[in-house]
Amino acid sequence: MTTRSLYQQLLSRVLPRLTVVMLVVSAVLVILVYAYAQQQANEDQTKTLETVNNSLTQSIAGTQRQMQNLAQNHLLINSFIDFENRQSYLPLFIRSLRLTDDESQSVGLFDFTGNPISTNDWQENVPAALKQIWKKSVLTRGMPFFDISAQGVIIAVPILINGGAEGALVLYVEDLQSLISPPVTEELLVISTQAGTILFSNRPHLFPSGTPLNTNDVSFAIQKHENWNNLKLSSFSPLLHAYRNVYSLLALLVLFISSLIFVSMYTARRTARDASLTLQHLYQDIETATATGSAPQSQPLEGEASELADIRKAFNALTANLISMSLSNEQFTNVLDSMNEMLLVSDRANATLLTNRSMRAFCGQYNVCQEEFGIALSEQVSTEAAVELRYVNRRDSTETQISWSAVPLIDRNGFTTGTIFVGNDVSAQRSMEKHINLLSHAIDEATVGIVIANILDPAQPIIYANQAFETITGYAPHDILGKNCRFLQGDDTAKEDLDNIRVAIRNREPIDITLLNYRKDGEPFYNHLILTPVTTENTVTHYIGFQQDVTEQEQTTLYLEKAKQRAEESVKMKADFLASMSHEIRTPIHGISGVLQLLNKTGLDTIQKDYLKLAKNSTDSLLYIVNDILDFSKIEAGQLQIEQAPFNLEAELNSLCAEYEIICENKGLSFTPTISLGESSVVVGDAVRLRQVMVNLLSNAVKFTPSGSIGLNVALEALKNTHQLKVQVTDTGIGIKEDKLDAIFEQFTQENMSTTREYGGTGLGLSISKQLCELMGGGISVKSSKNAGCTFTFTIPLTVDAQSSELVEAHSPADISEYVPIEDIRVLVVEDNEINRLITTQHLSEYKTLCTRSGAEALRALQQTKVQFDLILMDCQMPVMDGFEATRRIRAGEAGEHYTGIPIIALTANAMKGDREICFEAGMNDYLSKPFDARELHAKVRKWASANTSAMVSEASTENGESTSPL
Amino acid sequence: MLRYDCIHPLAKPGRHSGAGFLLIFILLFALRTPVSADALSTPVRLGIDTDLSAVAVEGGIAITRGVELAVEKINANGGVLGRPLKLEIRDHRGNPARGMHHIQELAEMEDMAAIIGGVHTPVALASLPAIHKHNVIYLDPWAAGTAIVDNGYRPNNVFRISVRDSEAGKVMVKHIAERGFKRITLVLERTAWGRSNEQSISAAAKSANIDIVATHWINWQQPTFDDAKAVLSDSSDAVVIVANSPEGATVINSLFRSGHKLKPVVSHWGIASGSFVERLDADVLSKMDIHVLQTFSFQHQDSPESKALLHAYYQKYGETAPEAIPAVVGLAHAYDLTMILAKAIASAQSLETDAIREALESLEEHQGVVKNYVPPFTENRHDALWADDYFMARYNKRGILVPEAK
Repeated sequence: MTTRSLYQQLLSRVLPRLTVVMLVVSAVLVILVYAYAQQQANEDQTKTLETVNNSLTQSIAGTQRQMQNLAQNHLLINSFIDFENRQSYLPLFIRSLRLTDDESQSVGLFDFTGNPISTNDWQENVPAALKQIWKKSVLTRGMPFFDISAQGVIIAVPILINGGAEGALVLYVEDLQSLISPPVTEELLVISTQAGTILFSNRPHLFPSGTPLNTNDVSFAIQKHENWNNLKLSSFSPLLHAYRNVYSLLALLVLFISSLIFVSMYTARRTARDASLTLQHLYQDIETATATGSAPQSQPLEGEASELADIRKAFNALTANLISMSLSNEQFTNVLDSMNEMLLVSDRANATLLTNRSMRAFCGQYNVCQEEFGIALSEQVSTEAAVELRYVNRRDSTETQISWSAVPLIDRNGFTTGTIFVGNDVSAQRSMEKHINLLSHAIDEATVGIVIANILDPAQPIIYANQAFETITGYAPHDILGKNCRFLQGDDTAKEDLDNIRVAIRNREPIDITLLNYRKDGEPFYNHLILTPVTTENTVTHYIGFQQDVTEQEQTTLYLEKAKQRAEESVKMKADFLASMSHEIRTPIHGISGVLQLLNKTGLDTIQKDYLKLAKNSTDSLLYIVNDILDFSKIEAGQLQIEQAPFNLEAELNSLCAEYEIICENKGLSFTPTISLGESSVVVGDAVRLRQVMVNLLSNAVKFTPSGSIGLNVALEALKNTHQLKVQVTDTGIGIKEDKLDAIFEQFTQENMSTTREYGGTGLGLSISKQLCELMGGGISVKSSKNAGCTFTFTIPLTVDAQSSELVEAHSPADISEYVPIEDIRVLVVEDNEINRLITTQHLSEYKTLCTRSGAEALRALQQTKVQFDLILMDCQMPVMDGFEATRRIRAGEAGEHYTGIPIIALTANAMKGDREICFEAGMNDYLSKPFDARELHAKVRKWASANTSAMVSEASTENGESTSPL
Repeated sequence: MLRYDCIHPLAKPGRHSGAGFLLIFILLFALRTPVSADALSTPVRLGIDTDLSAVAVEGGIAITRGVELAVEKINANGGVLGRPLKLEIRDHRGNPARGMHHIQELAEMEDMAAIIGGVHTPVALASLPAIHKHNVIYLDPWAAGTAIVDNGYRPNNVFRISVRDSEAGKVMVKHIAERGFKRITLVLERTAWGRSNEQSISAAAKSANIDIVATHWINWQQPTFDDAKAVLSDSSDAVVIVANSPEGATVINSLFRSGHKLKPVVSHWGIASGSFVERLDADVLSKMDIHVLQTFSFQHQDSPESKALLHAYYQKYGETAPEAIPAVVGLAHAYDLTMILAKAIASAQSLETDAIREALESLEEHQGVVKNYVPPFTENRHDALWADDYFMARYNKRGILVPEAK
């Protein structure tokens, strides 16, 4: 019997069965397809008929709706009432109506009896049978109407007025064809009467309307009919068209069956080929392995089935296994030798079975025999735990530390046949551990607290803290390891410090800071913290914090700061005290001085006048001393203010020289002033303080010069941008020892204390002069020797002010005397101190005065007294209402509109910094410091009274257009 | 509310010849022999053709009631020529075509003494040819078109107790002039009545030196009056409306809704013919000044005849406030016309149209509810009411017409 190939066998068994199955499947498919085609054709026709039905219904309804809209048109309705005029527009309206596309349509408008009002081709076009057909429905029932018949289509709607049909709009179309748009289809669609007359078809050239429908013409087709009112809707579909879906399906079926046969054949062939190929390869591999003894190297075949591949792999593995069993131990040895650890295997009798290269090298280095070493090891090392053994090299005395472990050697039957020893050199490790211990101990013993935090962890936990940290903070290491350092912070820890630390850590920078922290027991302490980043491989991984308790230093600093504050406060209190004393001291002096002036006016005999002069001199001295002390205090308190105002330097100097000429003459001294100012006479500076310095120096010169001369040399020198005033006072007096020269500008110092007793004085004059010069931006110096007189020189920078010249001229004291005396000046004196009141009113006895004791009283007096006041003298510090407040109220118009501009001169004993500004801010016009003398008071009163009077005169003349006398 | 049966327009075909024959027979019989008891119980017919269901229902009902009350009184006093009066009522729905149809139908009935018309001038005008063709007396208690009476027919069968448009124009213009308005705008319905008023108002305005700024037309059943903004924003001082109730209400509502500043309205009385107030938006009456031409009001005319009519009205239709009787002018006019007709028939002793017409033209005096007619009509004057008999009334907030103090 011949054997057939695998392929032939597969084909002969599979093919017959496959053919039978395919035939059966094909038959079933054909039946299904036919049934589907039948149903499809039926559905198509139903759908088409539905479309025709809808088209017909919508066409009629649409036309009806259009006509109903027309019937509601008020022009059409009005035509029923507007009997006379309607013929002018109705025929045009009806003619122009286009309700359908059909050109032959007729439209008619009918009245309530059905008589035509206006029609369009009605009589000619509309068949007699249709003319009346709509009337009953439309006119009687008021319902819309339509009728479709072989004669044509009638559509009618009622014209409703207040719900009743008053007429009708009627449309006639001859042919239904024009009303319907047929669907695009292969089918023949026909609308016919029940009698079979065609009214509409979608093939009008084959089946024109009006002809009877001959069903024989279309008998081959599949038919479907439907009734619509009295009409019949029909659809005819040709066979070819009806089953068009099936034809394509049949072709698909044939394709399917032939594909199936092809695929089956191909599958059988492929399967057979793959199987035989693998088997052939296996056969060849066996042949090769048998011949060469090497393992078969067969490669995976392309597209090989997994089962076949598995067989081949299993076969290959088996072959390879067999061959590898015979591999030498060489590889094994190589592996052992490559180990760094020392390996020694001994049998149960401690005979060495195996060693590796490290072991052998060790034995060579320490010059020991492997056999002996193995025996020694088995004594020293058990399998229970690792043992460390030290070996000293006799040649260089180096010590090596080896950690030995042992495991039993077990054969495949589970019996222990020996021991495997493994030795590891741990010398370097132990040495490093020692070193670390040393450092660790050092850190632990340090007095500075040290902590290390891991900042790679988002929580930045502490990973180390030394003993000192516990000493400083009270926290033991186990309390804090793994926690963030934040526990040291408390309520009063400055947020700013924490922010600084946070920023430094974020920027990976070191920081040195002192902040308030809290111990474990809650006690606060000042922590001097130094944070240093630790960098490993370019990344900051940790921060080391050094901590020192600096609470004591901090407390000392705080204490010093508080002490400084207290000292400053004390100075300020002193200044305030002096400011108030200034007022208190000057007021009584003012009183005494004033009363003495008044007394002088009374009739006194010569002795009384001498006494009075003594008293007056004493008062003046007292005032001089008090002023010195107050000036000094002001300078000390930093309250002395240097004015920057234009003044006439020449006039000031002239006045001063005139004064000292008399003084010197009285004492029998010659006085030789030399003044060279160039062209500038008006300068900007502080006239009062300049005068004070000069008076000081001149008075000293006069005082300490028993005989001889006093020289004054004044020069105004032009510098680069400014001018410098240089004043030199020379005398021929007692002089000063050269070694005392430096000290004379110090406070409370004269050349020696005996001088004080002999010449009197406070010893403040020169000190004040020096400080004033410095405050004005200049300096003072002295040259002298004992009994050879002295020369004091001071310089002050001044600016020359050409613009203000005229202004200053106008206000120079020289002008005051030129004021014409004015009678009938009415002055209101506001002063709480009785003596001051008395003095002021007595000084002003030539005028009319009224006194009040407070600001409030002054306001009342201004409001209620009928007399018009020309001037107010206003004390500043008063009970009830002070002078500033009273002035503000007068300026605000509280005393009447006519007093808002009245001149107000402040009378004040305040001589401290800022008094003038306060007066002017309150609205006062001028300022008189107590004690003042009669001459000053008169000058101010006249100046302001005359200014006010002339202002009022000019005001009155402009208002009334004629000149009237004031008051 | 009464219900009126509407006779179908197509009813009773081919009746003409039978009716004519019967009429001749009765006339011959009446001339030859004394009146028999049968003949005496045969009613004399009186036709009413008015709108009872469409746009001027109130007017139609008021006219019908006026006639009914008069007929009751006449019948209680023995009827006319000893025979009771019987009413034949038709509803023309304001449709001239129906009106014409009814005139023909009523005129062909036996013993038809006269037909009383309705509110609508177009219906009356359209009916004129039929009235004269069938030679029947037509009594007009409302429709105001001048051409209804001045119709050119000789003899003229139309007698009217109502407003005459040419006179209405004068009265409205006089009222406008008295209120100091110088410029007016007209809103007229697009019918013969509207055109009749355009002529009469224009003529009166011209002689009173009043400018007509603009004239707007409105169709029957027009849903909105789109010219409202133009009317309120032109330079006129007042708006004159000539329209029936539905269109009048459309105009007033459109003016009111336009948002423009409102102007005083002077209206012909057409708006008072039916359901005007019900058609208005809320608040219109409290916000707008609407004056309406009137001829009769129980407050204005308080003669004994007027009081007796009011009493009879209460007896038959229930009590209501005298000023709240809807379309009261129709009631009074129709009542007076019916009473004058009865008097004329009695005077003529005949139901012949020519005899009745002559008698109507020859009555010397009649004390009616509207006024004392001295005489009611003459051969050349078939209008009984003239400008002096009209007055203006104003709609108060409750929708009741209050006569302006004279």
